[in-house]
Amino acid sequence: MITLNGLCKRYGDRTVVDDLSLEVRPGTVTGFLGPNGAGKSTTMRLILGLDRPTAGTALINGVPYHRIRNPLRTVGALLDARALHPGRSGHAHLVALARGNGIARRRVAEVLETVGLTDAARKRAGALSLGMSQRLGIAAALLGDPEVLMFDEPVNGLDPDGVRWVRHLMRSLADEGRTVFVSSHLMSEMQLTADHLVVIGRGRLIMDAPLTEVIARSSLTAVVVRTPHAGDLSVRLSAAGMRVERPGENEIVATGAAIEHIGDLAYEAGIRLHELRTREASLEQAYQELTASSVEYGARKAGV
Amino acid sequence: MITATLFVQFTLVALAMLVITSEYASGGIRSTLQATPIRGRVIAAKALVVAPVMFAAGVLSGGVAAAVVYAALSTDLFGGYVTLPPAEVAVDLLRVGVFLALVSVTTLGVGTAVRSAAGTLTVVFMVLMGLPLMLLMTGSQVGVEVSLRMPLFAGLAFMGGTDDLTAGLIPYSAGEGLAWLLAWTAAAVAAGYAVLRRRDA
Repeated sequence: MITLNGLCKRYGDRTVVDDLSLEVRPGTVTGFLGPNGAGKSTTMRLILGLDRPTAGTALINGVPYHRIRNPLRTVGALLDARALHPGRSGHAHLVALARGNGIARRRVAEVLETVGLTDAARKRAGALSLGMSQRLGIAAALLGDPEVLMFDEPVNGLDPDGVRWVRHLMRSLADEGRTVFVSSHLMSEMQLTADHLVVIGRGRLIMDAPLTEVIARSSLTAVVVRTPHAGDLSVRLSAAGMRVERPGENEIVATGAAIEHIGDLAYEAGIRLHELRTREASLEQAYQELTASSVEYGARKAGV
Repeated sequence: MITATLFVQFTLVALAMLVITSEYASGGIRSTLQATPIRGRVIAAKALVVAPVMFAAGVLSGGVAAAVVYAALSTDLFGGYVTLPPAEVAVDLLRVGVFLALVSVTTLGVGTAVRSAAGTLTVVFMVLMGLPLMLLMTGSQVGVEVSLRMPLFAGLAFMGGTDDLTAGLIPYSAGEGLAWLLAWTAAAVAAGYAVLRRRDA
């Protein structure tokens, strides 16, 4: 369990993390989303005590990171896969981490096997490709068999097989009851992996809710109705407090009500329906709506 | 040998510096602090490696130098002019080792505070060599007094190099020289620790 309480980080007059309070719970994959520069990586660095918060606290199982004995056995984190001495082999790097935290040496071979790096483990870390560095970073995170795991953009540089493997890994770690906190800006990936979402923009919390709720709340999630009596039905739906659009002669798109409610209303009014279905927003659409106002480094439109 | 040590020290300083600056250059410091979040322990561990290694390096390189001199002295060329009593040489070697170990730990402290290799080398060179010489050359009373208590002259006093180089210039004993050296080392390590604790990694 990770608990943030009024967490703030300012660099001069720039506020990177602004009064962030949330809980990341065990047994779920919590996706951490936000535009570039929203403060995701800084938040993770604050949790690990690499940066000092300007105000507030970041606790793991109720204590700050630096108070945990043998922290790698409680928290495994991949922040920057290249953050190791380039002249050292992956194997030597992991052995050093293991020895410093009282982790059995055989774990090194085990995690290297898990991430599929057994053959490249004796190569200089600087000579590894980005994807292989990423695997080594994941191996380091898994080394201490920790109950809390944090990954910053874990699929960076991985091939499609690797991406699928990471997705599978996150799920199984959460299913084992661990706390899994993953940042990413690949929405399609998050939609497949995450149970719960934390969305931030400009350092502030925008949303902290289950994935299904984020998608259901999007204005693009709607009920599509096809009926020869579209005019009549749309009046009734509006009267029931729904937002109604008429994209076509016989078509209604209604938001703000459950599909069952619409079906019942039509039945009571004796209106024949030819189609009644839910159109779900993708996470990408829901995310874009949420963060539209807080994209810090948005690209300008071409030609402007 | 004592004078040579003052030049050799920069080779070891460059090595000692890498113990910390390479971590900042590669980003490895973040792995280090993730594995060992207690800052004092990180610095202490590094000092515990640096000090004995540099002590051994000092004694060994000094020993090699002494052996060469010994061999030269036993030839007819120098025979009889100079003597090299083994007991005194042994004490000198140990002192050279201690001096180099302390200078290296000082470098570690400065490196932890400064973080970049170029910056560390500059600061360490100024403290060990540049500043004391410049202060000495100002000729002002205060400048000379301060200069004589910097690691250069404190080291000379400690290693017993006062006779040939500074000719009675240093107004204190070898023991006080060691004390000044230790004070500089402690100050550098304290500065490194303060920065490591407060600044973001």
